[in-house]
Amino acid sequence: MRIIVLINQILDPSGMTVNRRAQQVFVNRREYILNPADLSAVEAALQVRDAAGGDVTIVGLGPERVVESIRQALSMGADQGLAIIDESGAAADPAVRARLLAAAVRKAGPFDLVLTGDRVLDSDGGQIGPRVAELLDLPQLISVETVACQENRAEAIRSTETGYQRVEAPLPVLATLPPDANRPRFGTAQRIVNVYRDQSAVKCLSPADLDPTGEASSPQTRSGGRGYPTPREPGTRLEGTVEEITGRLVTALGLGA
Amino acid sequence: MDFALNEEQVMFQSMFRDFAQQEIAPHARETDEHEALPEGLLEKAAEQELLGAALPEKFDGAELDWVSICLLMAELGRACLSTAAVIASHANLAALTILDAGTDEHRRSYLPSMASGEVIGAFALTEPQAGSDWNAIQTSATLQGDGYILQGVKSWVVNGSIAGLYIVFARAPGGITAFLLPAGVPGLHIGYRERTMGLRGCQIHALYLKGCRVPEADRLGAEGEGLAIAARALPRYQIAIAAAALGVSEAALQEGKQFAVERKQFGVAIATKQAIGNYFADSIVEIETLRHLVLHSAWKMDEGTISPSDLAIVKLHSARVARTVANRMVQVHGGYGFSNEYSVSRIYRDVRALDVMGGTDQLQQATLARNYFQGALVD
Ligand SMILES: Cc1cc2nc3c(=O)[nH]c(=O)nc-3n(C[C@H](O)[C@H](O)[C@H](O)COP(=O)(O)OP(=O)(O)OC[C@H]3O[C@@H](n4cnc5c(N)ncnc54)[C@H](O)[C@@H]3O)c2cc1C
Repeated sequence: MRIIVLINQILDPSGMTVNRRAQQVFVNRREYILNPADLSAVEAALQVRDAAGGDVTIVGLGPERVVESIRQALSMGADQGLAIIDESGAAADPAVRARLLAAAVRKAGPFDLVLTGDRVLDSDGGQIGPRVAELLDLPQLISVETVACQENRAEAIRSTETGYQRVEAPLPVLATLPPDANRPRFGTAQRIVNVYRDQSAVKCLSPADLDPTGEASSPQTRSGGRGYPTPREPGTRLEGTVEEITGRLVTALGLGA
Repeated sequence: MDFALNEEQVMFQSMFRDFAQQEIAPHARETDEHEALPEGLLEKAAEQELLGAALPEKFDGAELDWVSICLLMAELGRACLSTAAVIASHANLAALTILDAGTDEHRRSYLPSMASGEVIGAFALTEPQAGSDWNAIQTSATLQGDGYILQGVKSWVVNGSIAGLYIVFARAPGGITAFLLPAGVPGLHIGYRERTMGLRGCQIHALYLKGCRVPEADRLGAEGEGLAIAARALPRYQIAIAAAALGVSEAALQEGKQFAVERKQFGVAIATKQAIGNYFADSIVEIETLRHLVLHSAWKMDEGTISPSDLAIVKLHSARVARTVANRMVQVHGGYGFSNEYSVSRIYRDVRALDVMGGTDQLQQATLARNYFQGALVD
């Protein structure tokens, strides 16, 4: 079983204070963490590997510091890392990001399973998994709590508003996980030592290595600025028995006879 | 000169913090109330290789440097000082003393199981009549056949009731000597538990040695080498305790901050009151100086250049900072600081031990003054 996990690195929200009145985010501590949903994906990958054998490759895309997040995944037990170092910030565009990651997955060689988080905590975006799946022409299992692989099929459980759904697809497949899907293991002291001892544990590439023409890196998203929703008046609370509330609601909506 | 942690140390720190905040901190209150660490906690710490962090790899340790060990102890102290004290007594006092003074046979037979948490260690030096004055210990070790018979009472033994292995100091014909006693050896009895005001998760017991037979092979070091072994053990414990003091000071400050921001009196958050702000300002300065002092001392441990005075400084200062900051943060909480509903009251009780364990403040002062005036007073 060859598993690839796509990870992203974000600014640690515990180092920030959101001040609503000032409509500003104060960054007290500039530290970066592995995106929580991607951390779930790493844990899920390790569980699949521990059950079925094989190896786990971590692919990260971002500035040089993304290597630290890859190392964190290695300290948890992943087998190797591939970093695509992009200092330009071009990969902030989800279309560019997905194209580069898809190219990296192809470059990483044959695979059975691609896992990633179903959302990224900072922007709350959730495009990467589906986009990469489309680019690689893979079936996609989105926001699943667990993944298990059996005889060329991936089985997953997805939680819905009404219960659980069991979904499955033939391998190779891409699945995304929410941040609370599992309890990611911690790295161990010895593995951390080894990750730093083995300088070749993380291979580094540049976007140009994956996209020589630069075509994939041309942005598709344009920022139109930043704004806050205009404050709204609080609504009216209807009280009383169900009949009374229904009557008042009908009147309020102007539906009364 | 470089004051930055290296990448590896940064990753250790974040693993230590994640582990301590997720697995230890949520249980700090029950640890205090139930007067024991939660079931399975030490096993989890062992899985992260935190119990053998400083041991060499060949004994299943992680062979971390002192700076990393201090980062670990600071995170443990921040999460729960009882847990930090249990682990420091096991790892820094007991295991590292076996590494230091044991034979290869001792190391091979005990250290891997101490790293895995299968065997918890304890260090039994203090006696009812011998605290600061180690030389006053009365427990005797008389020669009999190819071994010794130990007779006496030990007190204040952290991990007393959970340990699988005790390092016991006793007076042999050749002077004070250290011995290794596995739990359960005939004649070794776990005595009464100290009812303590803080660090209540630590199981601190007296030990009764009633004709306890120890084979010569279980003697640690030579006869008469006991005090030298204890003197070498102490720094490894003191630096760990100082780092834990740093962590718990930060935890107290954090508790205070949260309360001061949320608590409103006279229509405003009390954090906006200058008198309260000054408590924080002074505490921030003290914690920041302590952080530098702890890391610098750890670095000196790694360099092998730490002096007795250096250790006295960091030990004394760390206990004072923790006590002072915790005291201020209790005050910030007003009446709630006196309530066990708030963590700051547990922290306040816990940190009070730091002025005593690992050598009292007065002994640190005595060491500092003696070394400072060395050679200057002639009479
Ligand atoms: C939480 C905790 C955990 C501990 N864990 C262990 C353990 O695991 N193993 C172990 O063996 N021991 C342990 N101890 C015991 C600890 O090492 C002793 O408490 C400490 O050495 C002081 O001894 P004492 O309590 O007998 O006080 P004493 O030595 O009797 O001191 C009483 C007072 O006199 C002062 N004093 C003593 N001598 C001098 C001097 N020469 N000059 C000036 N002032 C002096 C002291 O500073 C103190 O204020 C622990 C203690 C505590 C509180």
